[in-house]
Amino acid sequence: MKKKIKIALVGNPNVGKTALFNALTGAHQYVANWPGVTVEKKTGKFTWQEYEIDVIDLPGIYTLRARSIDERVSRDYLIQERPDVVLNVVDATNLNRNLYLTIQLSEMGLKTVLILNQMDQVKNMNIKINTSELEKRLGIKVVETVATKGVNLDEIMKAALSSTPPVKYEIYPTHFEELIKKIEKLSQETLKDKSIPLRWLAISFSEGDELARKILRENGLLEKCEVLLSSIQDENPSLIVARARYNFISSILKQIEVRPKESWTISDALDHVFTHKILGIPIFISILWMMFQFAFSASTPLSDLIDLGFQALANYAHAIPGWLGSLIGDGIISGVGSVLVFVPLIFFMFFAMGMLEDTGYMSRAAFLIDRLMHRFKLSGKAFIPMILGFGCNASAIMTTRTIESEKERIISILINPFISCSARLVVYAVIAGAFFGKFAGLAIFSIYIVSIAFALSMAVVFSFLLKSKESSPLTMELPRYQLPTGRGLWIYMWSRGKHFLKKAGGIILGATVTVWFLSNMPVGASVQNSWAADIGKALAPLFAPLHFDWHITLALLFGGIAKEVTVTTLGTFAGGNLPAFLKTVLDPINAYALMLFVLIYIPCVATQAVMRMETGSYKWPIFSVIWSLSSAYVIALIFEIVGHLVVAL
Amino acid sequence: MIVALKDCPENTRCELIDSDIPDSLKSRLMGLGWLPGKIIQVVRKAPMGDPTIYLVDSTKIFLREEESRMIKVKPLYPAPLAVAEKGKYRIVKFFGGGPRFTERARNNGLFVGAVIEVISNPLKGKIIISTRDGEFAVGRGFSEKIFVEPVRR
Repeated sequence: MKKKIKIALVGNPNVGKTALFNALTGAHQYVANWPGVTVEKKTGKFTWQEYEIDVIDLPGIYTLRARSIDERVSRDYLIQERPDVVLNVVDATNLNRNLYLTIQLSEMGLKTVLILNQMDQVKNMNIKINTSELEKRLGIKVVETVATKGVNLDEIMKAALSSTPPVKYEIYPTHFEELIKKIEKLSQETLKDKSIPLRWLAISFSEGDELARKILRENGLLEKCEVLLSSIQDENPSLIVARARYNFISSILKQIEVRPKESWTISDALDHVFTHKILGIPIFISILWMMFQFAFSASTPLSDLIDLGFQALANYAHAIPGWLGSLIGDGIISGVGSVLVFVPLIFFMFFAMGMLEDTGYMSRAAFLIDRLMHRFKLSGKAFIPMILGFGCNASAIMTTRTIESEKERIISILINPFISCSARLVVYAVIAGAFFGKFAGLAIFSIYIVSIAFALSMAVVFSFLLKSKESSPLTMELPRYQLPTGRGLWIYMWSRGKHFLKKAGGIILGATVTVWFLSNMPVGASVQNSWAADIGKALAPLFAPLHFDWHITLALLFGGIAKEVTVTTLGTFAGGNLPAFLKTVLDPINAYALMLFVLIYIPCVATQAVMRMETGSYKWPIFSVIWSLSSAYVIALIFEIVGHLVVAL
Repeated sequence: MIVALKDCPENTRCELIDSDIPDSLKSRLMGLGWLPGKIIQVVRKAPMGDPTIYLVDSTKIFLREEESRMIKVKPLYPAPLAVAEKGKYRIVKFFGGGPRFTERARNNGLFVGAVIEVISNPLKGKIIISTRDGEFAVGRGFSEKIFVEPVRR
């Protein structure tokens, strides 16, 4: 029987907790060089000697005072679940700030091992750290790592399992320590839940923490404690606490750390250019444009190759006689194939995004455009989910948890589906490829511009509707620039891209087979008389003003499941030549209107489910579906009317 | 002189005095090392003037004007003329601004080593100073680039 233990990873944002998590568990969680990537706790398992270890990767926090959901997740976990060991991951180049949390963890009475991560950077910056002395002064085990390059598991586990006596730093002024003891004593006698760490409770209460106050109130101690606290009259208690912690930290650091004089680093030099008043924004736009160009150009040859492969396969399949040949050839291969052709495009897109995130450029981008976002009633924090939305809206919506203001969070969730995700890219690529020839790239880029403009203007509309005035205060850290590692990029690209492959093998395949079935039933009927045609024709009058015929209508209907299905559905009707087929049912103006419609019309099923989960109510996904469907209709209609008028002139 | 952090131009170094920001944000800033007495360096303002990157304890963060206007700081000298209170100062250096800027400044009696007097500084709009060439008003953009140090008697 293996012994079970729970280990939690805790630390400031962006210090490498997830990298350590991956190194420990062999998992491939997505990490990036910007704060706030992990917004929910992730669990993994590994075994070491006779131990079975549950590892929990918690969202990054600066202090144990919780404001936003991700911070609350971490704090509540530590208080309620009481992990056996906490690995406190710190950025070794910035101990002064990172050890603040370490002190708070000790106050929670948690067994802590300090993981000095990014030791390679410490060497690069010529900082000297006396680890064994640090260990002595803190009274806890300290382990040096470079988590992105793998870790020494034995060393970490030995430290985690070693029996060190609990530490208690009596660092506050005497009268304050007495106050803490009084509150501790009071609560020890009355508190029903014996697992609540008393020192944490007493200190957090005096700092004004809501959770601590709530616990005391529930036990009828709040008033007594407030009387005790008011006896300290000199200064703001939270300031006394913070200052004492920092004094303690700097007294330790004086003994164990030698830093070279701050000098102009490469990071500073890069920032000078990337955040430049005049050059900053043009550079940002060029980088985005390069990202698109790179993804499209690099993927085209591969996509063509895959396309040829599928055509050959379809030809073989057609040789199979009867309905089976048709199912495989027309249904599965042309349907799913028409989506898989875009796998290289999606992967290259993620590769480019991974580059931007790993280097640390993203938070600079947030800095540059915060003012603009502000004008649209959003904060720079809302910018992060928007950028991630270009990958997948469903996962992007989860990252809205870092936004503190509830209304702003709802707005960010509602506008996210208007950010064009990678699944929709597939639809545009097919349509633009068929109609706009060498201007296809430009047509697609313009859709992305519309996507951003529409999302931002909807933010204004929604914040008016929700009467949201406050946008959350913003404190975003600018991490050091770093070179992305090949391993990191691979994990990034694969963890996000595989989602697309899974979808192709699962929901998209299923939907495609269903469509094939519907379009071949009743047996022997031509497509024109099939059940699919019946459904499509029944709905088509609704879309007649948009000049979408029943094929398109049906494709859009199924596209609600996953946007790629729009393409696979058309693929099953096309009989092998999708562009030629599209030209028979659309003209270029209708085609662009269709692209606009696909951009806006409804969040896919997965996104709706996440909306429901994140807002805790069906109200918002339903609102989102109705709102986006009607706006898509209106916008596509206006475009068609105006477009046809212009052409007629 | 105590000023709001938002009024400090780029390259100012200042001491954090106090802040009236909401408690929750305050505690996060404390977790980032922002305590009274700490030195804040104003690193950069965004293209449209807001937000601003600040450096405290080798950590760069950015804050918006809404928050930085509630944070009180004391600029450390040499500080930009823009945040200098009434009194006599010596010009220490110019920050930013090309040769044309320094030439224009020189024509107004402003050069490294020159002693000037700030007559009034409302922290908004023009600053009235007097040099050996007489009294005149300098614009904010101009005053942000001239770093001065008080002259002790």
